Amino acid sequence: MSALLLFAATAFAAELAIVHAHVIPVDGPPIVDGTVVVDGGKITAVGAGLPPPPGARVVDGAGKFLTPGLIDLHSHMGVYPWPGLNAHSDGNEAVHPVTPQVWAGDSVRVTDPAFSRARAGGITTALVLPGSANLIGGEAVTLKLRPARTLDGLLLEGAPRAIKMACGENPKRVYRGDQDGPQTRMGNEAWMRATFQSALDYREARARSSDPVPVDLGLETVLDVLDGEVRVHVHCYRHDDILGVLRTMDRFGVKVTAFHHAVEAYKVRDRIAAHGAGVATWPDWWGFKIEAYDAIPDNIRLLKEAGVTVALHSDSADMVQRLGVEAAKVVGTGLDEARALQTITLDPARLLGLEQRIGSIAVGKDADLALWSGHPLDVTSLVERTWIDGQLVFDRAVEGTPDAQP
Amino acid sequence: MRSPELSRRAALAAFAAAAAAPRSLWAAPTDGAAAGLAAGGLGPAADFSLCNATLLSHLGGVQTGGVRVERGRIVEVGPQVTSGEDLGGAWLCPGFTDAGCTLGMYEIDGEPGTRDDGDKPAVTADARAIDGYNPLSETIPVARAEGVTTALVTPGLGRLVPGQAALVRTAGGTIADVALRPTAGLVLGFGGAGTGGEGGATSRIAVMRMLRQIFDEAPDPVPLGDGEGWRGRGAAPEPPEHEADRVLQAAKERRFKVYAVADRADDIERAVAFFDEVGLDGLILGGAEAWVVAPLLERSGVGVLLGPVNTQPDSFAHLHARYDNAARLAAAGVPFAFRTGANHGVRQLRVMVGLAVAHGLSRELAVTGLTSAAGELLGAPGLGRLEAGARANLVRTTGDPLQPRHRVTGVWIDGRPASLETRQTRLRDTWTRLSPR
Repeated sequence: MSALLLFAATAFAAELAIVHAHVIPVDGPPIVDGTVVVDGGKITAVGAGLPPPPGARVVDGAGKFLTPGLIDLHSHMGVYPWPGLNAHSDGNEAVHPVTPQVWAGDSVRVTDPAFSRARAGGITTALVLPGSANLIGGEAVTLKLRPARTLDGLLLEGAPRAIKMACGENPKRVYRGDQDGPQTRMGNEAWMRATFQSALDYREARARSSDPVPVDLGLETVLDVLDGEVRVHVHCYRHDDILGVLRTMDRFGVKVTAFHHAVEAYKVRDRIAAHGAGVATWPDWWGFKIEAYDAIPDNIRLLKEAGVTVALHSDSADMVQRLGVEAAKVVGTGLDEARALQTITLDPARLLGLEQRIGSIAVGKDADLALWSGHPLDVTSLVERTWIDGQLVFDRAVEGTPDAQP
Repeated sequence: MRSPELSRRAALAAFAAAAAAPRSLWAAPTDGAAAGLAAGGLGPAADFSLCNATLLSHLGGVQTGGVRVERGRIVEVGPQVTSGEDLGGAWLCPGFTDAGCTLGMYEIDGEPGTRDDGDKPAVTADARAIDGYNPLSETIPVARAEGVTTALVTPGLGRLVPGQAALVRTAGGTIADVALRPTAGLVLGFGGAGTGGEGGATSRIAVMRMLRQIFDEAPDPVPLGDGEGWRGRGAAPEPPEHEADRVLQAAKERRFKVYAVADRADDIERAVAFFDEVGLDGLILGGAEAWVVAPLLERSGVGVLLGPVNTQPDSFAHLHARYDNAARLAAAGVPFAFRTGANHGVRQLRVMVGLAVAHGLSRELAVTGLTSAAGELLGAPGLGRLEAGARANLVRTTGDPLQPRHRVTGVWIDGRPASLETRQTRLRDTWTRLSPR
């Protein structure tokens, strides 16, 4: 077996081999004294004690831990870039409760120093979303956190489309002063139903009318949502809000990919599992608003035990730098290490629709890797090197912890 | 009633009546299901011993041994204590102090009606954090259940003179019972933290001008003996009529601590100079860029109530914030104790200290900064120490408390068992089984 792997690696002129590391693939058991071989930006071999292919750049991982690059399913890096200023507030197009026509990629400040800090935390992929002011906030953008000067350089090419929706306090607060609202939770749901219905009416009008009906790019996006071509991420804290959104979605045949923040998801974990939705949430944030008052540290554990796919998200340019520490908190509630590590790797990959490509250390997957000084769930461990598509994008020995100034 | 110390006595007297009844209730707990703990989460006082523990001292040392507690104090620590409850190797360390937070001062950030941490005018030296503190707030057990047994609670920051901090313990049902020091120093805002509030400063120039004016106009210090009272000729001078003046005068007399909220290095430098100019006994609160001026702090003997550790270089207010701030301060010999600056997030304290270790701080100084350093900086000896004579604030954990994977499994405050039940454990227990509908 190992000879075969070695042959394959040699044949493709391997460019990188990390050897003697404690490899945590997250989709299989840990490998003591593991080797990971990378070629052409992909992982080409994984195994115990494999010798590095001739000609490969060899990184000695002795005494260190190698994990897949971490994935944050809820980020506003780039759309609220550092330094924090009013003029840098590019995450909420709060002109109308429904703005499906906007795309977070258009707001991304490519040189946001937060990206470099996230790389130093082993993050290789992030879903950058519009904010939660609007019921439909716009389309998100999936980024690989490569050092780049253009958005193209950051894009995860071929990533499924994703849209940000919201319910609960934020939309009803932002539009409270508007005559048309929404001003209440029932208003939120009515607006969502009306939006979906207007998209269907628009499609019918365009199909039937002899007079040309002008193209409405926002409604075209809503139709893509209704047709299942866009993954739906809904900001939603309270369990009754989760059920309200599910009522609306079921009526229009829309599948929710993930409820975000979802601090009360544990109260309806069976219903979430039945719908097939995932959850993206923090381990222990609470109390900053009343819909976050019933948050409990056991949320993630209870959801995982109910079979729900859970991404431990940051929603923060600060927390994103230590998702290992956050996952360790969940271990403290009784979830096993393996599943805790999946909440920052493979689970978010699934919710992005990219589990065939990222989220674990497996042959054929993108070579997105993080090499840690110690166990990734140890608070005193640091990421020493990060690779994206086999390229070294962070090296602590060279950079230290990146500063705010590029 | 001329000094904060006298004000403290008056405040305690005012609460004395209310304190009497609950104390008797705690002495006679009736609810067995709640481990005998009444409102406030504090169980009955009793002498006890714990043994076969992994002792983590406030100096960071680890050894196997036990602790003997009498009348709320630790009377013996070490391997020679072999009787009492066998902890089976569980870790035991001194209680943690959050050296600057807004714990218990509001229930919900986003609901102004629940907030009692602020005031409108920019200058309120007579505002007391203790007047906004709710000992039965749901935020407090959440902090306690993560090992925080003491907190320096400040008024909400972001004004020139937010008011007086309070030193509290995190269990007890009444203000009188939880307030270790109802007034524990005066908070001053420097730099951006000094702007805001009605009639407030709008620039650093204005902050410094107004602070000088406030202290210039405050009553002059009265020459006192060393805590012995008036020793001058004739009758002692009358104390100032207003509390704000009494507080400012006491600060000038160095009998009342001053906490300078400052993150940017130049603001810290200005604060240290201001301490010197006015003759204040000051500490820096925050100190995100303190590493830049570490030699100055060391030379001036000014300590730092440091944190949050995870302050990011995400704003012009602290572009030079670094994770290794604590490690650099330690290397320069600057004393510090850790703070969260949070309310709901006070629970993060121990893990945030772990983060400082990840970035170069020695484990020993990290543990000291989490436990005993605050007591030393605040002039409250016997806090957070694992030694004979110290207050028996103890935390039992499943392992190294800096590690998030380890859980807190026991807390004692002043020798009394404290409840680990929180709103969140109650919710967990309620929703572990789901009803059909």
